[in-house]
Amino acid sequence: MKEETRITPREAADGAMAVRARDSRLVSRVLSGDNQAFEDLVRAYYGRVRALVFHHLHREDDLDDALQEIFIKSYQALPQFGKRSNFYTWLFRIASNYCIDRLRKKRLELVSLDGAEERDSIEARLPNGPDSPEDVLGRSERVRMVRIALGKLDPIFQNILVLRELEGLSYEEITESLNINMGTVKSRLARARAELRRILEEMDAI
Amino acid sequence: MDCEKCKQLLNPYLDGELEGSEFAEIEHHLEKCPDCTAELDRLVRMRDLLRELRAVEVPEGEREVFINALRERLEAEGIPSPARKRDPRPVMVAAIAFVLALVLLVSLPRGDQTPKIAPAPGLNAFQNAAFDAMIVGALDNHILATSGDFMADPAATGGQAIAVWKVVRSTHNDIFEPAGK
Repeated sequence: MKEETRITPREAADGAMAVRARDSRLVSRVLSGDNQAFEDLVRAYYGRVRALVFHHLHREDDLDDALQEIFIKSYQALPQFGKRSNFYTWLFRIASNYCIDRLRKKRLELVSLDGAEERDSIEARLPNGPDSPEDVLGRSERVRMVRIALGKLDPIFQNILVLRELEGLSYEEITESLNINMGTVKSRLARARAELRRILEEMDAI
Repeated sequence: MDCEKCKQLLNPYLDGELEGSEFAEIEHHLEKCPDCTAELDRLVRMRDLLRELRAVEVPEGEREVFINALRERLEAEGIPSPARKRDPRPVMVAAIAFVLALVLLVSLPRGDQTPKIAPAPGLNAFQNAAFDAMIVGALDNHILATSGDFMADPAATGGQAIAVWKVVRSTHNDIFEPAGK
């Protein structure tokens, strides 16, 4: 990697404007034919996109394929990135659309199953084997129930909760990521929380 | 503020997205309303539960393994670079305009019509206008190319501008040399 393109911890701490300027420079370089700059963008956002996808799909074994698809989509769509938004909100839009599509297809596959089997299927997707990251991190059964509840939500609701609660995006950043207006962000978030609470109450998890 | 309005605003309040009078009003309402306070507590508990899912660590070395695999896939599948292709059309149009203007300048007979604008010695009005267009066009192209707004090679547009300059210098030196010098 060239020295001047390295993402340093100091640069990451310099705040949103510096990050935006850095991303803009990297995007310009990719559009000039410099693929090393694209690798720097992937390096910068791999962790956040990986977490976003994991919180939607709830399984480790699909992560690599999903992440490759998302980053290739972003690579091909880069000429359409207008630099009016932050690069990461644009990237999250691509990742969100991919995850929502995947979940919808999965739901169609599960549509013939009854409720108990569907629940089993969601639970089976959760990593809980002896060597899984769940065990390594010492996650509680309660956390496991939250994952199950999250997985039962409509993909649109699951997506907005992941962006807000797990990725920590502000409302403004969510409007950019999902290309929806502020009113829709507020109403969708309120409905998503109400629905999640209903599911958690049914499961006696809250 | 009543309870219905308060409950509508609890989510943005919880998310720190309320400002000004609405923030002050909801704080005031929560101080005296146990129902709405209990509702807020439930939202906070659920948010905290969700946030326990936050820690998803990237295993050491996974990032670089992924980037290497991605690079190999881009190459193996021949996925084209998103690099902007230089559009040759503006350059071709500029080149054709340049040649036409040059031909016009050289081939038209030098008549005795009186030029109406900015007369250059020995040129008729038509030749004079063509001359102007050629100079301005070449310089505009070069400025745009060097500023990056115009997908043309600055070396090519610079060459055109210099060629125009040379023609002007060689054929109409008297434009640049003040009379009597």
